[in-house]
Amino acid sequence: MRNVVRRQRTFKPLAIATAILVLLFAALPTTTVLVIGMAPTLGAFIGDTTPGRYLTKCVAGLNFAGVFPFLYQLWTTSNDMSTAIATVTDMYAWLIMYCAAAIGWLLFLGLPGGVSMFRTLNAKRRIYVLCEQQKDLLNEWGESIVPAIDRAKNADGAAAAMPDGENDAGMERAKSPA
Amino acid sequence: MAEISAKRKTAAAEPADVTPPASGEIVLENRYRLLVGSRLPEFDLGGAEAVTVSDDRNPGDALFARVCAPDGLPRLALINNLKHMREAKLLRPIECGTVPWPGTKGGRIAVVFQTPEHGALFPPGHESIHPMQTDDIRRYVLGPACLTLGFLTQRSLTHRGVRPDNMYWDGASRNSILLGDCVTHPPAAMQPVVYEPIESAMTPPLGRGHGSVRDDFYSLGVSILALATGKVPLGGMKDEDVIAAKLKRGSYAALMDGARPPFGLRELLRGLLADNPEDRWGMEQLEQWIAGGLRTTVQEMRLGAAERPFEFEGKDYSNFRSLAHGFGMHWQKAGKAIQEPGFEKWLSRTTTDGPTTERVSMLFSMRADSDKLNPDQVAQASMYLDSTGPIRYKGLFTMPSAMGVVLADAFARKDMESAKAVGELITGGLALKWHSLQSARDQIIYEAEVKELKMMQQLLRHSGPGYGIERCLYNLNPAYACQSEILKGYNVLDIRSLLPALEKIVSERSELVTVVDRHLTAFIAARIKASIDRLLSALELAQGDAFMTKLGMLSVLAAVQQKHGPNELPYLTEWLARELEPAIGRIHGKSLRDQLRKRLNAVSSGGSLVELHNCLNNESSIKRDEAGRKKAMREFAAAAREIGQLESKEFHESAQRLGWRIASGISAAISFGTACFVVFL
Repeated sequence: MRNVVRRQRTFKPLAIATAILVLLFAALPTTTVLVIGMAPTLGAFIGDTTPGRYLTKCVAGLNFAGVFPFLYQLWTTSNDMSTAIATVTDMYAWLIMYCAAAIGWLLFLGLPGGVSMFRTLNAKRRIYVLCEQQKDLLNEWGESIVPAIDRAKNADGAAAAMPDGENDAGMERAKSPA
Repeated sequence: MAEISAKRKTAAAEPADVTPPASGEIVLENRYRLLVGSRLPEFDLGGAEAVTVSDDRNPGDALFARVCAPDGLPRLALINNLKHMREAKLLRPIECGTVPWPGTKGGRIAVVFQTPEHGALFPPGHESIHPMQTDDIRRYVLGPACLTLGFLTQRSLTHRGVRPDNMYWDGASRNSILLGDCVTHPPAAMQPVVYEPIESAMTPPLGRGHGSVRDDFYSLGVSILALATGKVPLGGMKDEDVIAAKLKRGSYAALMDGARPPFGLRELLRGLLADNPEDRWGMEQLEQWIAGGLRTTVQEMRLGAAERPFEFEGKDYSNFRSLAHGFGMHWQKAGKAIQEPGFEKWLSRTTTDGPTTERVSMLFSMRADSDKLNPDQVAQASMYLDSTGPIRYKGLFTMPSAMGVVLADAFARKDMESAKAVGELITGGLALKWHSLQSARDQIIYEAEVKELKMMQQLLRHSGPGYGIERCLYNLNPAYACQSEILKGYNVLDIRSLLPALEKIVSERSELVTVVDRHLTAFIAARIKASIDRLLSALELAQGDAFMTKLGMLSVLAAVQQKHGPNELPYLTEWLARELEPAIGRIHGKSLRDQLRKRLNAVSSGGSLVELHNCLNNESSIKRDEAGRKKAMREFAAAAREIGQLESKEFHESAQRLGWRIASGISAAISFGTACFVVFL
C-alpha cells in the first residue's frame, strides 16, 4: 500500500514535467505567450499559503482572462514564434494581462472582508433575536429551564468551565439586560 | 376568614347540633311532629325513649316515636323493608330520621310507629298474667306470628325480638297480635337469655347477630310457654344459671323444669325448643300443626354429655358446649389445658355423634401440630367443641353476623382492643372457619355473608386511607354514622348528608381543622356509589406530604359531590380554594398559571368542588405544562448553542473561507466568460 502511494507521488511531478516538455516542443509560441502572460499566477502559486490555494485560483482565472484574447489572436493568425514574440513585447498586451491578474489579486484581498462583514452583521442580528427568545422563555418558564449547572454558576457568580465554551456565551447573554 | 360576599344558601344538613327546648316539637320529614314533652314511658324500650307523635297530613292517626339512645345501633337497613310490609302483623316503622334532642349534641335517630290499639301480651313490670288457652294461642298468637315470620323469611330477614312483652294485642276484639319493635336495637340485643337458643344465650346481647328464622321460632316457643303458663320460664334465675340449665338438660326440659307441659302444646314446644337447629320446627311444621295435621316428635338433642366431668379453672364441665364457653371465658389458660393429656382422654371418652367426632379429630390434629396453642387456636378449639356457638376469641364473643355491630360498639366506646380483635377474627380466617363448620344447608344460607367476609379480608390487607378496620366498620354497618372527629356533633348517616355537614362546619368555624381523616375516607369509600380506588391509591402515595394529601382529599370530595350532590358548596369550596391555591405553583408556565389563577378565582365562588378539582388537579394541564417546559428547555439550550456558534472564532474563519471561495468562483466565471466572448463574438 505504501509503495503504491509512493509511486503515485513520484509519478505526478514526472507527468507534469513531461507534459510541459511536450507542450514546449509541440506548441512553443503558445507556451511562450502563456509563460510570460501567466507569470503573476506562478507568483501567486508560489506565495499562496491559503488552504485550498484560493489566491492562485483567483489570480489564475483573471490572469487567464487577460491572456486568452492574445492566445486566440495567435492561434487564428500565423501561430509562429514571430507573432508570439510580437505579442509578449507589446506593452499594451503586458498591461492587459498583468492588470487582469492584479484585479484577481484585489478580488482575493477584498471580497472575503466584505463577506465576513456581511455575515457578522447577520450573526449579530440573529444573536439579538435568539437572546430575545431566551428572555421570553425565561419570562414564561422561569429559571427551571436553565440547565442546573448554569443555575449554580449564576448563583455563585463564578464562570463555569464548559467543555466547548459555546453555551457559556449563550447563557450569559440571556441573563444580561438588553 | 375573608369576607364572603353574596353567598348563596346551601342545602346544608339539618342543624343537628342545635339544642331544642326541653319541651316543644321536633319536626321529622316536614310532617311528623315529635312532642318532646309528651313522653310515653310504657313504650320505652332499653335506651330508646318513646314520645307522642302527630302527623300533619293525618292528624287523627295515633303515632309514637322511639328515640334511640345516642350510642344506639338501630337496624336502619331493615326499616325500608318493613315500611312496605303492610300485610305483616308487625309494629311497622312508618318513618325514620335524625332529630335534634334535648341534652344530645349531634341528634338522635327517631323511628315513628303506629301506636298499637292495645297493650302488650305480657306487660312490662308484670310478673305473671292469666294463662292463655291452647286454642287461643293457636288462633290469636301462632297464626299472626307465623304469617309475619313468613313475610320476613321470604325477604331473608329475621325479627330477633320475639317475646311476650314485645307482642301487642291487635284488632277491636283482641283476636290477633302484632309482633313488636325489631328495629330500634341490634338484633336480639333486648332478648333476655331465657328466650334465646343456647348458642345465642351464651353470646353477649350485641354479639348475637341477625341469626336465622329458626332462632325466631325458638323465641316464639318460649313465648308460647310463657303465655300458656302465665309466667316467664325460669324467672328469677341468673343468666348463667339459665344457660347452665339449658346446657345440662336441654332447653325443653330446663324450661319445663319438671312441670307438665300445657295441654295440647307438648309437641309444639318440643318442636320449637329443639336445641339442634336442624331438628327445630320450621314454617312447614308449624303450619301443619296449626292445621292440626302434624304428629311427629323431636328427640332431645344429646349435648355430648360426659361420664366424668373435665375440670378447668375450678369448674367441672360435662359437655362440649359448656367447656367451649369456659375456654372462651378463660382463654389465656385454655391453651395449656387443651394440651394436657387429661383433656385428650376426656375427649375420647365423651359420647359423640358423627359430625362431632370429625370436629374432635380436627382438634386432635391441631393439638399435635403445636406445643403451645395461641389465641387463634384456642378459638378454633372452642369452635370444634361448639360449632354453632359464637366465635370466642381473646374474650370477645360474637356471632359472625354481629361483627359489624360489635365493631361499631367498640369504636363508639373507643375500645380499640376489641376493634383490633374483630379485625384479627377476619384476617385470621376464624370467621370463615366458623362458617365452614356449619351444616351444608346453613352454608348455603350464609353464602352472601362468606362473600362479604372475604371482601373484608381484602380490605383489611390494605392499611392506606379508605381501607383497614375503618372501612370494615362502614361496610359491615350500612347505616352507621361517620365517626370522624371532623364531624363530631353531626350525625352523618348517609353520604348525601356528608358534604352539607362539612359545608355547615366551614360556614360556622371558617375552616376545617383537618380535611383528611381515616374515618371520613373510609365512610366515603364504603358509601359512594362509584369506585374511588384510584383516588385512594393517590391519597396513600401522598401520605407524609400534608399538602398533597389535602389535594388528594379534594379529589375524593369532588367525587362525592359529583355522585351525590349537593350542587353548591360555596363555603367549603372557597375555603379549599384558599387552602390549595399553592397547587397552582406546581405549574411552571406563567401564562397557564395566570390562566389557572383566574379560573380559580371564578371557581372558588362557584361552589363546585368538581370544578375546583378540575382546576387544581387537572392531569392534562399538568402534562401539557410539563411538555411545554421540556420544549422550552430544549429551545433555550438550542438558542444558547447557536449564540455560541455565532460568536466563535470558527464562525469568523468560515466567513473568510467563504469569501475566498466566492472570489475564486468569480474569477473562474470571468475567465470562462471572456473565453466564450472572444471565441464566439
